[in-house]
Amino acid sequence: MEDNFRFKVNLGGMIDILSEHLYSSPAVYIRELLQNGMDAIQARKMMDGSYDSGSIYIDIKEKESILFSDSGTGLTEAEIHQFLAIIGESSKRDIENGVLSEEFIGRFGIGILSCFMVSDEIILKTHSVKDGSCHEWCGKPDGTYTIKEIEVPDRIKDGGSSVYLKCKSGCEDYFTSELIRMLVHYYGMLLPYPITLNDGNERRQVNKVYLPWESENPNRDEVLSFGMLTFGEQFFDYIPIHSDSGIVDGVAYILPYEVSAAGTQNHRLYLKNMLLTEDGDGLIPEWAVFVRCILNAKALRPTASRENFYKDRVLAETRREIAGCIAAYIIELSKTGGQKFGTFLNIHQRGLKSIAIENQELFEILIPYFQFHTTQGMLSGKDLLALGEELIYTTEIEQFNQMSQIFFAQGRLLINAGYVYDGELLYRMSELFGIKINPLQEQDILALMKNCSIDELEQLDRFKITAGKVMEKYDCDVEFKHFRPDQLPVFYYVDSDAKLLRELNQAKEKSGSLFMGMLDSFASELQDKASAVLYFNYNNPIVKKLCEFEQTSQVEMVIEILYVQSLMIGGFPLRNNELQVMNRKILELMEQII
Amino acid sequence: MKNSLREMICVGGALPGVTGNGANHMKNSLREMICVGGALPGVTGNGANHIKGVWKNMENRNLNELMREYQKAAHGEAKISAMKAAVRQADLEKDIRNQLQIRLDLVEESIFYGDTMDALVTFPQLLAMEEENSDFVDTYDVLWAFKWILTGATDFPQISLKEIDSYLGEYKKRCKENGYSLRSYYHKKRSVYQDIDEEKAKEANWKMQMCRQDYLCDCKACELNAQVDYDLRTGQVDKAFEEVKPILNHLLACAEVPGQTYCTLMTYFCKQRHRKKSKKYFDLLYPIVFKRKAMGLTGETAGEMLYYCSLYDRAQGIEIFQKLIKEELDVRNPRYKMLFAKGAYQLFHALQEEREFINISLPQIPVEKTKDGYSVAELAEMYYHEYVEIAKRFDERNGNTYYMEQIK
Repeated sequence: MEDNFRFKVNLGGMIDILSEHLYSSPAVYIRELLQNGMDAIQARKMMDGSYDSGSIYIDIKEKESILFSDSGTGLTEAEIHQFLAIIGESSKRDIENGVLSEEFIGRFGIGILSCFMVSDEIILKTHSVKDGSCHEWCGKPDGTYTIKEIEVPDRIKDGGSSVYLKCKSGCEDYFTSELIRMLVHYYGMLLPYPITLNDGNERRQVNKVYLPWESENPNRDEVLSFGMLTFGEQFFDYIPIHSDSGIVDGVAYILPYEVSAAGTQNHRLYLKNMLLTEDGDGLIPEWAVFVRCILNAKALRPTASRENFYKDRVLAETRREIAGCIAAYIIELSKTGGQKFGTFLNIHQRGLKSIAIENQELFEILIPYFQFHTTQGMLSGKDLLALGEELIYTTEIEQFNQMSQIFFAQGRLLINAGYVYDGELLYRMSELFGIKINPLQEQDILALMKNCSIDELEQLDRFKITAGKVMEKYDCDVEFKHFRPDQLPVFYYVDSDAKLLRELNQAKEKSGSLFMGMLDSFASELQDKASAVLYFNYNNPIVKKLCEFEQTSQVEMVIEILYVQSLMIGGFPLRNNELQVMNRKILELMEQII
Repeated sequence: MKNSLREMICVGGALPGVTGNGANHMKNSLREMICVGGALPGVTGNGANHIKGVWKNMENRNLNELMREYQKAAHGEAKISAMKAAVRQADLEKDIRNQLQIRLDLVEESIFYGDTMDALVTFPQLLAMEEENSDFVDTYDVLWAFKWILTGATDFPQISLKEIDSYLGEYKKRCKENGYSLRSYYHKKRSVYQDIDEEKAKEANWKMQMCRQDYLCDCKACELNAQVDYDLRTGQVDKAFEEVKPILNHLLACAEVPGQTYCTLMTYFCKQRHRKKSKKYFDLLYPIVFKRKAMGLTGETAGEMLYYCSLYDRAQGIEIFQKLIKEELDVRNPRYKMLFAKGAYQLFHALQEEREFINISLPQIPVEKTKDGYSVAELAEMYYHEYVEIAKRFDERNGNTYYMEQIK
């Protein structure tokens, strides 16, 4: 014969699991109470369409207790047994129909347990509007509870429920009026019913029920003031946001300063008027780093912990629609042009560049306005397109710094694509507009240099041999050319293989024996391919004088100084022997002068 | 003399033997020369301008600024480049703590968002510096970096198996010395040998299960992902599909998972020619790869995505190819190049069935673009040869024909 048993749940253990693994902090109990209260009021509204007196009262005894009262439907005795005493049985879930009411915030029926994180007892008094009965339910974390019929307390004489929590030892900080006011404002800022806090000294409504962007003709200053109060920022402007998929409404405030893509972005994202999360991941497009959003979603799902949005197709579609709103604002602003657009562009150039890479329409609109750093100063995309010539760029800022002197002196354009997104934007420009845009190569540099004549080669022959010997130990060839600017005595060029080879050789100097074989293998592969050349400028008076100088040792000294200086100008990492050369040779030079 | 001058220049001390007004004059001249651009006595005109330029460039950015810059930079090349500049400055300033910390950050960035090469160049220096300055860095962080290097090293056929074994041995020794479980060691050993030596991988697998988990182990999601991958490779299909459930049910996830898992399953179903299931995992993988834009993820998955597309959606494959080709050309990781080449070959080989030319924009590649576009056959051939060239090196290093078999 079979015996049937029922799984027992260790309520204390479950509370531990919730508090340690589900909820981020005991303070969420306020959020859970707010949710339950709001849902109860909503349920009453659904029962009685004319009911519009919903409210929540919070009475606090500092560091002792809290009485949380709502004017919702209340619970009958049967409902208490059904919904409060069975974990996971949410009164907000229509189990038989398998349909969740879209109006309710809660879904899982476990929120009440969060109160046990701060109190050893939950005393619920509930006055049902269905049958007029009034009961007190008292639950303890060991899983036991009592129910009894009581007289209707004043606070809920018109119907509703009140939850009394006495703080447990160690949780006093969660029962201060300051914290509770802050949490109510934080979680419940958008709740449509007044929430009043009474701390014994004063009674004050905590939330504003009016949202300025919801009026038919929103007042810009009011909307911006709201943002100022919420985020403490004087925003540049705001973008109205709406999504049909997630039934999302709200605003995206544009920051008045540039922000980094890597920084944290704190939004206020609400689900059915209750704060869900500050983390925009999943809902706000990742390129929208320049906005801070206050959004309320009605048709998105939360995760079990109710601390983020559940990632599903609806969320993805909502995100696309929000992206569309932001893009539409930018497009509209670009059409009006003017100072506002210019200021916006100046502040958020980097963020806008990242959007333009993702969004073709925005790319075409914004590319003429984007600024690029070149040897002819900052040029816009429009300027670059108007040049009608092949454009050359480098993606390394150090290489740009090094090359810019030569390009500038020759009146040639070099674009610094070392800043993030610029390289990709240039590549897109070439695709879209059919212009030739190519990375800098050695032949582009050689094109800016003129060969020495045979007579000149004869004059510098001895110097060339000396320079070759000196530079051999640095794995560097030597060439003599004419190039501008005349003041530049030398110019060091490395291709990417030679650059990596330098890094490897430097690494070998600092590393132990374990990885030496690996570094040697990499280095030997690059040895034949790498190209490093020190170009001497025969236009330069120092170089010309050096060619005539008799004393070989002093010539060698100067060659090495010039070499190391060219490395420093180019931002190349210096190897140990090169650093020593710099120190030693400068001292020797100063000794001779002084 | 050298130190005095350095002190004088940087801190404003005095030259020994030169005192009073003489010292002040010397100090001011040098400071002027360095900071303001004045002239060194006796050096005028072009020489003075030249020195001025050198010193001005050196003083442009200090370490804090450089560190802020790299912290703000977007992941990938931009961040790596900024980190390298910060390392150079930290080295110049001999700021030991930051020399170590920035190198740690650089290794991590290169492994997950770069092509691993910078990690391999940087880590040996980091390890050597850690041995001399262990008070300035957490050994735990260095061991994590070492773990990543173990997998990264196998991506480069220039690194012999003997060398890889020595790295594994050193890692094992350090785990023991620092009281860590050997689970992470066996995990890495399994992943190193799973394409090379079945028996060694098998032994590492069961030894790994015997070891306790600790903070040096990969997260549960990554461990499970790797286990699923290993089980599929070794034909333990039912086991793999049972194990993978927590990942597919979103109970386990991290930065790498479920992306890597979707790729594994997509590839598995492609090989089974199960169109619907491979599409399911392709659709899940695609947004992850292109949202995260981490080369560490793309490098492993791009080729397989192209493989899927070669079978079921060539147009999408061309789109993916165009999106990734520019990055792929600059990649220095042979394994990433090889995997991409294989996928590209499979795509263009399949595309030959329907067209002779394809007229799309590509960066400079060794295939000529005619008025009709690129020859599909030539593209297929180019990528075939690229794959074979690299695959042969891997097989030679590994002592088998695993990679050459993949292209048949």
